[in-house]
Amino acid sequence: MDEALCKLEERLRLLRPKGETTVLESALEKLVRQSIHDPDQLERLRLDPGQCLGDLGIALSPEQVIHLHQEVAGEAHLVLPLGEIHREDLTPEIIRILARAKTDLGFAASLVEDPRRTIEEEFHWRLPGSVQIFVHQNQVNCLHVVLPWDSPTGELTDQELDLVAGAGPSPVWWRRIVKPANGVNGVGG
Amino acid sequence: MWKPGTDSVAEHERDTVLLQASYPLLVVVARQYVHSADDADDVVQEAVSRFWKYGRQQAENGKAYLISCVRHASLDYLKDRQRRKQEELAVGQGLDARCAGSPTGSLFESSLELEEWRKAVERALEQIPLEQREVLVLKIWGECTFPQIGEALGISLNTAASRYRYGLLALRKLLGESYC
Repeated sequence: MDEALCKLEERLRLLRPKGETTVLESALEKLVRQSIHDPDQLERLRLDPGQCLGDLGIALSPEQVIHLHQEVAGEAHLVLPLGEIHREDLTPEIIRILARAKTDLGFAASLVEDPRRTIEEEFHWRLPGSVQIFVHQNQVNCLHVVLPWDSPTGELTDQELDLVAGAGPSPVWWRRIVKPANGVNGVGG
Repeated sequence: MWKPGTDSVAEHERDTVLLQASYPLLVVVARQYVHSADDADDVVQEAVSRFWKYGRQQAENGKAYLISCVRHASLDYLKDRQRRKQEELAVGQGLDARCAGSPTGSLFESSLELEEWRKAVERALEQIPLEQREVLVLKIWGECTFPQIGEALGISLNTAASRYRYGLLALRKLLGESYC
């Protein structure tokens, strides 16, 4: 096959069937959920997310890449999904941010560029200054995964507690907190 | 022959995973025959129930069998529509006309940087013959091998490869320089 046809093939493969990203995002979400309490699974995911997806029967196309972001103390990551928002594990604040980003592309772009300023200005929430916030936007061929940070002590650090108090935008951290104490979740709208 | 109730739990789980992972592709396959996204979804549902009902012969050919189920369910859907319209249109001749009207809903994921490309490809796909289009879809977006395509469509490996090449050439002509 000549070079031009090979090039066309490559470009055609950039497109993916509608709904495929939702399947991928759901599978990655499932893997992350499993890894929260399973260090071995977390390590497998860290080493080879493609293989972990393969174990679930899902094959990545050669054009699709997965970027891993390891949460560490003092950092919070949020991924804007391309497909549906899986609401079950998210806080109302995160859902508000994601839903807004889904319908307002300008907001989404601003969120990726300057998350703190965008969130504070748009929602009038105050986020703790000690935490760096990163927002990543999934694309058809580029998906982001946030690996949960496993605190060595198994307890929340002061920074995490600050983040909880300020409604930081980390779904993973929020999932780890079953029920914030009354008044701790101090997000003001 | 695999039959529901005779397989192991692991096989059942494997088939469930296959169905979940392949669903978006199956809808694209169905859309090669039926215009509307809703109708395509119905066709895939019907194909999935056939998959569970009749089973498949070998695990490694599960994907090809699933695609074959969608193709047959799509053709049945078209035949049914045609019968209802009381038109004597032989299956295979009138397929390219598909259902009347414009296609609804996009075939591919929509994202900002690929939007123009997506529209151009979907328009071009509409204009090439079905026999080439179905091979292109399976090879490029289904990542099927030519033997798998041959099995799914009931054609030889060589025919699949030849239709693929003609399909690519047709697409290149339609898309012009926009793909560079």
